[in-house]
Amino acid sequence: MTNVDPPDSVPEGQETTYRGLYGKCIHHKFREFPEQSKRETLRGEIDVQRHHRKLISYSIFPFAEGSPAGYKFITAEPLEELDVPNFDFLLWNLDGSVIFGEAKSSIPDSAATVVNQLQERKEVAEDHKEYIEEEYLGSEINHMEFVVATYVNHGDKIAKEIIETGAEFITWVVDAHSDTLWIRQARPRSFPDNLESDDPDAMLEELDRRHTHDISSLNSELDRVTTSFGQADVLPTSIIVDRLRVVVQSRRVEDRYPCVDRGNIEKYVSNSALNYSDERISEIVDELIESGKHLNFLSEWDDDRAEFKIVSNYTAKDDLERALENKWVDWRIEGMKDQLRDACEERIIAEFGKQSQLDEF
Amino acid sequence: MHIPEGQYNLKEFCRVIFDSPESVLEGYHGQRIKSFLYLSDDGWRDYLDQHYETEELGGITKFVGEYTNRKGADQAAKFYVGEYKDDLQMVLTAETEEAIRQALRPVSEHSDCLSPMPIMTEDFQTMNEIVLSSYDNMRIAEFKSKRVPSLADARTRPDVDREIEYKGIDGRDRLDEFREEYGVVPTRIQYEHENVSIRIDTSGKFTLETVNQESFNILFELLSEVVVNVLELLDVANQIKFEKREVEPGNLKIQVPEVSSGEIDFDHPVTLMQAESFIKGTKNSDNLNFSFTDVTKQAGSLDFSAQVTDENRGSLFNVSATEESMRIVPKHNCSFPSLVEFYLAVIQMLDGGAKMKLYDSQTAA
Repeated sequence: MTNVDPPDSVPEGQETTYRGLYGKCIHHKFREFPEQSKRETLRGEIDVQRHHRKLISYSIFPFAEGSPAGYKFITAEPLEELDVPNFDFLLWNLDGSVIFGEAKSSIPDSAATVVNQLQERKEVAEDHKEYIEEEYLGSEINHMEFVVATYVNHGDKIAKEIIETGAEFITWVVDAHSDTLWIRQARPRSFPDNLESDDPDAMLEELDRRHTHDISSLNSELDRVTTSFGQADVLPTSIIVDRLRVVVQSRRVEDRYPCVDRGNIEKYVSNSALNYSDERISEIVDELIESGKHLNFLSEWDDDRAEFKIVSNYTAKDDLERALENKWVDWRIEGMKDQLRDACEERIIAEFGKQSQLDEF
Repeated sequence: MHIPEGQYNLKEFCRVIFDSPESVLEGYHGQRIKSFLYLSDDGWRDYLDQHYETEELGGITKFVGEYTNRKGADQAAKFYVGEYKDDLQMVLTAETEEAIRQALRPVSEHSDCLSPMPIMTEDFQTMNEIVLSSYDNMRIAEFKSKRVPSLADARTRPDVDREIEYKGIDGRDRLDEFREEYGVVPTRIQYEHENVSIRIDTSGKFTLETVNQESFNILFELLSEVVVNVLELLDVANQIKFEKREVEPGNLKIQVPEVSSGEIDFDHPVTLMQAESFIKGTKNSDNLNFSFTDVTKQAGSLDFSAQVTDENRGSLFNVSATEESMRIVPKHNCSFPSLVEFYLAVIQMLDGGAKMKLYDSQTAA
């Protein structure tokens, strides 16, 4: 028997029966629940986010340290504030040309789904051209290019798919083992049917043109350029556990207590984010604090020393990072178990409903 | 130390010490002088004023801190600092190790404008050669050596990372013998001859067991050997920075990032296992306080990246390493002492032959 409060709809006097049935149900559900493998899957999600964020970081680094063909990194996740499908980064040559980039840390075997998604985002970006001009740049865009960046072992797959579907995206690949970035040009297995010419040489030339940058100096400057990790670590649309790293990075230690003020988090976010408005930064910080409390990673501290305490016995950042990941995994697992509890409740209530109908005979 | 009132430059100050060591060191247990070299930038004097009682003696600043002695009593610890060169300060003291640990160390550990001067392993070898060739009769009474594959080949199990401490009157011969046999090079040496006894180590500390002109001469001679490389290192660390530049190409003010990153070139290919033990080493060290988060690591040809915090100073930077080199990308409050100490940690724990330079994007492509 499980000590659970039956819902109000359970007829009076039936509470014990309810508890018995519910107990059986939930016991069975929990026994069947593959907790260990779910936990591993969740840890995998954290890794996927990390690889994705680092891929963005590697992709934009040359445009933070230098300015290949005049382009600079402007912002991460342009258009995220509108809640529309958006790209991961925006580059601009401070004149009339922009590049929207999407980072894909892995490409599924059905690369077509990725290309479709890219096409959709491209349309959204084109639809918001004026918005970008007015809100982000303050000047007109007369040239747009679209990039998909991936790790080296997925480069061929996506580049081929793009070229064969006739989509116009330029593929960048990052090799994290040698910290280099370059433009991947794949030869298609078949020509797309939207090419102008019938002459194979001209067709190949057309494809090369289509899948490299219009500004030739950009192609040469990005040819095996050394890159590095270290920029763009505030991504408002990534999963919460990845975003909460910011809290770990902003923490300070007061008398062996890891703690943080709103101001610390705000400072970190505004230092790390480029071209986000103060209001947006404030919203991002609010979300972080709320989520932190939700996961029981942050709690209000009734002490003058800081506004929030980090709920952990550790003080070192690496330990706190691990604690955060564990808390998030626990929270997600608990969420899954809640769903099982709800399912049991619904089923038992339905049983009671049937019984009462039988009683009427 | 008991120093007569007066105006001194560094050389004159040292002369006062070795001219009358008895009165200068009266009442001190150790009867020895310790000299520490610090890299500095403009704010260092203000920093001293904030943390100590200071007094100007011409070109020398006396600074006094407090420490708790073994009997639990509070005691004053006296230090003197003078400029050896622009951006390179020499601290002289006769205080005990305990006084130094409590009253001097914390200063540089948390300062954004002072860091202990590291001596690159290779420069240390040069210093050793100078001493041995200038003084035929110089004995080595004690030394500590560690395995640095880039500086010495080992006959015995060359792949073993090892440290050897040796005490004995025949140290000079053993130093070479261990080097050939075990591939170790010295990181701390005690020299002795009839009226000189002096100890040097890679963290920029020099101990003069014999307080006389000859010992001071050796000290200054050795410094002149290493100073060029050390100041070059400071120059590199000072140029590693991250800024947001505000531009207005249209009718909006926007920020563009300007990163100037550093690079530590390894002398031999670094493996994942070495990178991992380096992280452990920095965590377990008494005076370093680096934490590594957001770590990605894969073996094979090394893929390693992480965010590094110098917990003592609150500096943040990111590192991304291949087996050949490690990029250092500054993030927040990235002051030169954090970078110098990080580099020192690399040469002490990962690769004794590693070199830090500014990353040059022009030559990379």
